[in-house]
Amino acid sequence: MKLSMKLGLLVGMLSIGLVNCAAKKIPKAPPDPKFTSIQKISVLPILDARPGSKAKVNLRSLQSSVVNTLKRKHYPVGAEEATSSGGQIDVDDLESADPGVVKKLGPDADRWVMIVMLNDVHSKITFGSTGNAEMSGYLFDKADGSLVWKGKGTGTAGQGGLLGMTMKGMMNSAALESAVAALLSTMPNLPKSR
Amino acid sequence: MLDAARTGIGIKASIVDLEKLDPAADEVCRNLNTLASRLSRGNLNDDASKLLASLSEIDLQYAVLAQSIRVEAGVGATWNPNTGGISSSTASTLLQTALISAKTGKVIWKSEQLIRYKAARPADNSMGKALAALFKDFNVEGREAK
Repeated sequence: MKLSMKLGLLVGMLSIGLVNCAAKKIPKAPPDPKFTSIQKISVLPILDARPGSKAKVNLRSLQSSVVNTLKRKHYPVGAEEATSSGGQIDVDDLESADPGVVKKLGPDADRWVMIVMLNDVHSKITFGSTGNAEMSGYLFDKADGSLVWKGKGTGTAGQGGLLGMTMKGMMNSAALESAVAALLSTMPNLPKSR
Repeated sequence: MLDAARTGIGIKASIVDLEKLDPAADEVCRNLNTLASRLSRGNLNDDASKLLASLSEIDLQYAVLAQSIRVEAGVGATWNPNTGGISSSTASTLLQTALISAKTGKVIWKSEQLIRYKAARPADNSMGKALAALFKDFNVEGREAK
């Protein structure tokens, strides 16, 4: 008798839990129209904004990584060869969406341009080895010069112990991958077919 | 940073405080202040070039020393005893400075120091060391700086 009561209580609690779970499920909001209206994002070459001495980084491969991540989010995307038609780009221009600078970004025919900056990447030996990377990105709509999206991503990698120490050479690239994922995590996923 | 600049520059150039500038130069410098972070990276835009040109009209010998500090308070170091995964702190402190000639609008000297893994406080040893290193190679010999 006691066992059946306990079982009944357990089933009752489980069913309440399931009902709660079902009730808490929030329907997915449709992505912002400013993202769904994008026809093609042109990803400009990665800007190396690292201070001090610079470790060797394959910026082209990093650009490909950004392109591939955006593709996985179902954005039509392409990699560009040139950053700007003139002048030095400063982070302040990007933060303030300076119309004079935005207009010059990427090829004239491209409307949505994404510029990604590599702010830092570094690895070190400790009780193992670690790697840190920091990136920031901006997406502009050149039609009206507006800043559609901006984000910042920090990536970390690391492994402790003697084995970790031997892996130092891999830490920069692992941290960079993680930083790209973190950077673009705030870009909404688009539906597969639009 | 101002004290560090005074110590680092020493007798290599004469430093004029904003308060002691004549009113016209003072106004130009206050306008340049809004562009300080850009100038400290040695990056000039049209606005900065115009302001520097107007400063050179007052005195051709003027040069502007711009300084900026960026402190990022990231997450601390971690260790996962289950996987052996570790990570270093993502905090950092970046000090940047540049000396720009008002006459030519060109960067005479610039320097930067990055303190990794730490959001440094003014009293920290690492901050003192970084500030000293920032001005270690300051040299304007043979250049038009005041």
